[in-house]
Amino acid sequence: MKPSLTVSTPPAPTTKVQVDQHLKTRQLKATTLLVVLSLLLVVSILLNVGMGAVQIRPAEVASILLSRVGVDTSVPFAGRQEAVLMAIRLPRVLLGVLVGASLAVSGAAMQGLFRNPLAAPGLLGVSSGAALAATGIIVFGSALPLGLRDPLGSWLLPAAAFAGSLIVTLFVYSIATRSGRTDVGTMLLAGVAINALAGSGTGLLVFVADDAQLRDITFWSLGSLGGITWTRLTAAAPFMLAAMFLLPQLAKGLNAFLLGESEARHLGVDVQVIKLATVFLAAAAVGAAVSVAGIIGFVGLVVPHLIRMVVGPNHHVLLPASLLLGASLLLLADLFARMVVIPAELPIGIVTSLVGGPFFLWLLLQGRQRLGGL
Amino acid sequence: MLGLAMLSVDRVSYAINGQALLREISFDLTPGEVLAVVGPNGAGKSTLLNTIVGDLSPSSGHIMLDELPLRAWTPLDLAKRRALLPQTSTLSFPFTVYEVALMGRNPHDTSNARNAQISQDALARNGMLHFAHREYPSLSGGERQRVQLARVLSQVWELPETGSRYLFLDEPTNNLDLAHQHHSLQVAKQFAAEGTGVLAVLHDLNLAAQYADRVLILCAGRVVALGTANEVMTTEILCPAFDLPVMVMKHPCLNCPLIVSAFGEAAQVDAGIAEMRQPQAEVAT
Repeated sequence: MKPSLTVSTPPAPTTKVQVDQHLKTRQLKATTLLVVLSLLLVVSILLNVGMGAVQIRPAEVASILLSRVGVDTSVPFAGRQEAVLMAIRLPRVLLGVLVGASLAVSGAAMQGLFRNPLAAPGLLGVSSGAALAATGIIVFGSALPLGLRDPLGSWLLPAAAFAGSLIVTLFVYSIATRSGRTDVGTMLLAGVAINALAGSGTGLLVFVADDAQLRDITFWSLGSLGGITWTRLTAAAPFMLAAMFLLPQLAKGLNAFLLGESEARHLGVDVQVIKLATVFLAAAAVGAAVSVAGIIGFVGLVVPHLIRMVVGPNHHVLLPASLLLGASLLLLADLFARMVVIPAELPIGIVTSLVGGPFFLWLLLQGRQRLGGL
Repeated sequence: MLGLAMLSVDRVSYAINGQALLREISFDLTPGEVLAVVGPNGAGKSTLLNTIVGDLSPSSGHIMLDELPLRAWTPLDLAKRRALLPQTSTLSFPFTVYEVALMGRNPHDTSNARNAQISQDALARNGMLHFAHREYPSLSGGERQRVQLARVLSQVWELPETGSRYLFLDEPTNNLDLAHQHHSLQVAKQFAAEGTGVLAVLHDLNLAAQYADRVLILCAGRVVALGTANEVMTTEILCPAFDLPVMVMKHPCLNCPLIVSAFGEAAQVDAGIAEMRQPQAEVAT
């Protein structure tokens, strides 16, 4: 049935075939991006494993790993190479992958939940909340009753950091949200307040800390992938792996969430489940990442932005792509941190903030349109 | 039981902080009709809409959808048969127009190809298909509203297996120019004719008069009148409800009333009314 009233829309230059073509191109772009990012991650891993005071070539890496499971290859390697790879490089690279991927995927998911591209864990004070809790454990942990300390063991630090990040996330979300609408200004200002509060809390802890504790606290605030052990890695890994595998499952719901909470509900999305799952998974991952690597800023903010610029905000692509790019960028930043002042190394948090800060300012200069209506 | 597929609102009241926003509202919405809800600011139109879509729980009264209480439906089952066009949309992320329309297919487990087809058809119906690849935030307010209409149409594009489908439109003509106001309401009316119960909150009385099968006039949380436009759009009902002197005449070419404001200098209005009445008097004699 043709409407009796003709409306003067411009003559349609796009037919359905052309729309289909456009969609195919978009799909192809997304697939290409995921393939390229996967390759980038592989290259980053190989570079990070191989480069340093002791050089290990990819073939030697493969040979060392295969010899561990009883397969003998003809590629020879030195005992020193094996020791460095297994005790230092491998846990450090795995940590980089886990921390980078989980920070980036958590940032992307939280930006979806808050419907705001600035809602990164760092800006909202989630990371500093986690760091404050972790610092508290460093300083006062030994004062905890043994009955509580021993069963938790190496889990104590990730658990405390998780609690710190969760409390901050829930707090910021609840004060920024009124009748289903999250107010952006309130949210960012709440983040500023939380960062200041956590800063003063950490300052207080620094004041009462002894020399050994001070060194540890400095580590938290600057961020570093160094000094990781397999024990600490395995304690924190489950939290980060949970976010990496479960957050991408929420893609459909998060897409609908961008329309608004009530719109998502009317599209049949269980908004409460999406909200709680995102908040808990992101807080757990950020808390765990902070507990093993300290505060590493801007990964959760910058990475999802870069992906959105290429393929748009669709979470089905955004979440896995952020995960891959976050891991690669953190590895490359760590490589830079290790290589630039040999034999010492820069804290990685300095590197990411050095790159991320100017990028963030550039985003602001790009204008509000691009950022999505601040 | 067949034949009772409808939305039935039975003596629904809603109060907040002791203030009654809706009082004993009763009406039915049947598939195939367009029901317009009109009323002055603060009459309770949005509260009524939020109540019948389930965002607010009525303080008393019952809402039945296809013979089941609204609360008995799961959000997913509701989403398959009922869509809501919000007054304003705050989407600020650069989804393409096509992706926004496709979101309407969220609750359905139809194939990807079918979903793509439906969203494109829905865009085409709203004259927005040629914008499919454009980023939503780059559109004007009116264009965004038409994309959102396409999204809700694609959500209830197919009749559910049992029962019926419903479309709730909260001021669908917001931000639209005159031509597109009519176009969007024509789309809604055609959708109703294809077996949908359409309820639209409208501000423009003449649009309501022209497109609605029935008009519900809400004032201070009460139903003042409910019936066809010719029945309820009279000076006796509209003047007190809107607290404005209006004149109602027959539309020059359509079978519906035409409402104009008679607000202004008292003398001019009196003269205008006298002038209006004169030809009628001649016809009478």
